[in-house]
Amino acid sequence: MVSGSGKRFKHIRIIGTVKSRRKSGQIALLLLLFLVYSSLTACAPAISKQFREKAMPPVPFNELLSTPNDYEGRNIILGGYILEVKNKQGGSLLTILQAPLDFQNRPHSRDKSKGRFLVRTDKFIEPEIYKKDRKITVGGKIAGVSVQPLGGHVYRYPIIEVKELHLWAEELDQDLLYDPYWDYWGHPRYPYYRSMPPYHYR
Amino acid sequence: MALKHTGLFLCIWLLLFSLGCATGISRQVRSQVTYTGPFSDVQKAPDKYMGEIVILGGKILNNKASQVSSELTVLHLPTGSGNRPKDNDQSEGRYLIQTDQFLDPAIYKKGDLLTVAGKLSGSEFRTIGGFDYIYPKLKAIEIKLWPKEDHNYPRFHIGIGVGKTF
Repeated sequence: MVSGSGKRFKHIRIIGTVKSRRKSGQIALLLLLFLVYSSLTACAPAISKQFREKAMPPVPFNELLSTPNDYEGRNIILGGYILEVKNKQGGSLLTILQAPLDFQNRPHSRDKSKGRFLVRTDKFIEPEIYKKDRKITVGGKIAGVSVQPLGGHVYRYPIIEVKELHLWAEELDQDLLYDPYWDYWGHPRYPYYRSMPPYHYR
Repeated sequence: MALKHTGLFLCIWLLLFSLGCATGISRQVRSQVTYTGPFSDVQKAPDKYMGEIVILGGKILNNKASQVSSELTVLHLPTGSGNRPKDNDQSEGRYLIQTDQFLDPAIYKKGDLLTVAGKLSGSEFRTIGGFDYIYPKLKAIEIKLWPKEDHNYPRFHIGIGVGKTF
């Protein structure tokens, strides 16, 4: 029993030699609570369940890009990196570089982008917060195409009318955040910091 | 034994308490504050709150300084302990700080965090891109500029201690 729990929580066995066993039990409980909490916060998807159901079956982005008119009116969840925010009379227009989404609907792997799209909203989007290269996930309705020149080409941007918008917290630079405290725990820094609420870091 | 520990904890607690309470705005000005509600309400209808004295946090977006006056464009930020602004995404809008003092643009520069106590003095429409934005205007009474932090992660850990570290 004791050796079993010692195997699961390696560091606790170390404590066991210093402090009493009761104390290590309390620590194990605290750690467990912390793990449960961090896994819960990490799993919160950016888009509501209601909308995720509405967006089924998913529209593949490359098909949307080639034949946008076929999908007009359908709901879709897309994400990517902000390229530009344009504030206009009575609304804002965001240009996004699409990127694949993970299970939390968080965009990843900029290099795997299949193209660009536009996000339209009737709200004011603060350009000092929605800055270039930040990650964003949007749930909305496909509302046509906007044809614009892009470096000598003519690019057909699918337009998404916003229903839900999620701006991801800026990722922390792991090297600058090196904290020896955490090394006692066998390098758990990576998943925890990633799931933490927005700390602004530049 | 128990008494000894209590004394130690009290000392640590007092130390943390005194550090945490380092405040940006003087007590005298803090006592004059008349409005402590959400800034988003002010931003929506600035003229309704004319004359109210508020304390707000923010980040400098622009500094227009001349010999006789200065105007800061500020992105609102929520404040934490000691009225220090928290540089997160929870902004409720923008506002202008106007003062008849010279705020050196080399000191009050873009991206710096500040806390301001001031009197709301109306509003002004300006465009951001093509969007007509209402800026509430604030006559500054006191401005506290916060030093830049090297690291913005929490420096106090909630310790689940390993005996060896203490």
